Amino acid sequence: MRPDAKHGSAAGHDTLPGRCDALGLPVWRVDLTGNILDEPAHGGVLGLWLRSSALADLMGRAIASIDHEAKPTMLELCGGAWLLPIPECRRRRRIGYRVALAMGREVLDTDAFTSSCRSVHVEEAVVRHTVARVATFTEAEAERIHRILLWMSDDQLRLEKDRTSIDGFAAQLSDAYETIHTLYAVGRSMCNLGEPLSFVEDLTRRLYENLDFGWVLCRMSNDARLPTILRGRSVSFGSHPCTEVEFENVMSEAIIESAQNPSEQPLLFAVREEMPEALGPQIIAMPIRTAKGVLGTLLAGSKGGPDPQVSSYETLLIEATSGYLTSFLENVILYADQRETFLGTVQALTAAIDAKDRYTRGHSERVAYLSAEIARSAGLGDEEVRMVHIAGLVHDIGKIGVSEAVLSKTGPLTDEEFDQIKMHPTIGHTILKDIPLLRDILPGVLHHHERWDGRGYPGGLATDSIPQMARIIGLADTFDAMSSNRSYRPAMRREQVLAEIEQCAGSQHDPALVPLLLKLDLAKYDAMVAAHATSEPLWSDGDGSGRSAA
Amino acid sequence: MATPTVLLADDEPHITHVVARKLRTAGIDVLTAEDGEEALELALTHVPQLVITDLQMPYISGIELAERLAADERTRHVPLIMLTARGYVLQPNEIEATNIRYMMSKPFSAREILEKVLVIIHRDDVGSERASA
Repeated sequence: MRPDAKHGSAAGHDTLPGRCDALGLPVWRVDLTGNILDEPAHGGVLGLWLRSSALADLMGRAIASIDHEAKPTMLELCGGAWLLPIPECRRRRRIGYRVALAMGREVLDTDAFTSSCRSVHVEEAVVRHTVARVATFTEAEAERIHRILLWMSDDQLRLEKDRTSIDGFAAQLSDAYETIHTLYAVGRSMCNLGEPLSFVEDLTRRLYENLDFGWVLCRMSNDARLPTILRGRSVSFGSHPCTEVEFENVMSEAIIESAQNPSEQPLLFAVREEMPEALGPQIIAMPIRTAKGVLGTLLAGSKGGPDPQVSSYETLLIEATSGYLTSFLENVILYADQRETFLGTVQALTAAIDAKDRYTRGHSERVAYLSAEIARSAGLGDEEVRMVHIAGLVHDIGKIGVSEAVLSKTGPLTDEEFDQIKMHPTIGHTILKDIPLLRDILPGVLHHHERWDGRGYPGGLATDSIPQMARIIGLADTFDAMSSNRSYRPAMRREQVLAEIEQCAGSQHDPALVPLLLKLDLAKYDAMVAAHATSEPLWSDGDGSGRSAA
Repeated sequence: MATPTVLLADDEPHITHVVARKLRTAGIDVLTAEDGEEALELALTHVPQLVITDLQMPYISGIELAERLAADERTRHVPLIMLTARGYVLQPNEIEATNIRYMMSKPFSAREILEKVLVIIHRDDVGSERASA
């Protein structure tokens, strides 16, 4: 961001004096009124003569007579001495001249030469001898050299202009590259909805690194839609040259004003006299606006660089990144909403199973909990643990398709009845298979009754060919079934359950998972059992026959 | 219809370069000036169909240029596009006293400028055809 790059150097790469010197032409620099600004640096008697007051007077008068609007022509200083003026310009305006002096032998015979010798207090013969060595030009030669010098000077001006232009391009290109890179990087990390804080931090840091501001701040609002980790949070880079209280006061004011600003562009908040001067003179404040309110504000101030005013180059980047931030936060909120809705739906399904058979009330929730704990102990990642948890919640959904009479039968089951029960994983799979969000948990539902030794159902899969999710749920399912009252038997004691499970490692259950269950802290599980035992059923049957005892 | 001429004034040569190139490719004649004074001279001599000018320039600012063009018989009808590196908002009296049609913030897209130029030139074209019909 360098809007100030326009001020190129006036003199640039000056090759003129060196070239004139090589041609044997002394050079002066004068202003438009003929005042000498630079003299030839020759040594010895020649130097004394070139810098003499008599020569300076002659030159001053000659320069003052030039028409500064016209193309300069060669001037005769005196007989045999010609001034070759080359204009110097700044921003298209002539500000003075470089003047080269070309001399022929005739100069030595002029009165002007004689009087100039007197002004340096050196014997005329000595000066004559020295000057004679450089007085080698004819008038025609001087004229040609002047023309060449003017061409050269024009070329140099053009070069200088091109160089300024290239510098401008280079600066703009490098800024544009940085901007693109920033937007690219921010855009790429937008899919990281699971880590909203690190997105906000990354974006704020990139703004700070890209813009020439002393500090950049991203202040989130207290909007309840924001994830807790972001609510009311401040992320800042750089340092502000005032106390926290002063900073806070100015920020609050800028934030309020920016929220009321109807423009879609960032607000340029003017730092007033009574505020800490170093924060300003302007603070950019860009609200993160959504249809339902402001989610936060991006702020930047204490601008560096030669121009203290904020330029549109800077506001543009802030505007663009705030667009990304708005879209990101909206996605985060939508994602959280969707997750909650999803979980709510799953819980509704679970409640439907539990309502069907009071013995299994809370069973799905406990299996989900235990499964997730086992999965975590097995080293699965957060997302996988979440999927295992959901699979645990719905693993028995297929029981909806099994007759209630069979499910709650107290006596031994006939083969037909048991076949019916064995259908529930397949029925569950069929019920859920068309829900895209549940696709990943289908194996857990379908295979949770497989056995490690291959004697389970419905697939008769064995060992590693049983999906891990299903092995985990199967283990948790068995544990919870044994630990709770069933229509056909009362709950078993904890030691008995654990002993049984341990014994089944390698036959019914994955021998690698069993130790993980045995090591679990079951306090929370027990609390769930207790809570479920005392909770009311979702609804009671009309006649309540045989179903009232807990 | 004759080739339209656009005068482009900015003291940042790389900006005039980029815009001039875009306009010339679209078949528009382009005059360039590196400050407000040169722009005024060129505008009064050549009377372009449109002036694109920077706001902050040496000698004569973009606003002053617009005002002086509006005040001169020869150029009073010439529309302008103003470029700025500031969040500059035109005051109503400035709009009234000048012929500024658009303000564009730097950095801008040369393509967008060309679009606006074509809109203005075309519109004014249609206007003059109607007037003469």
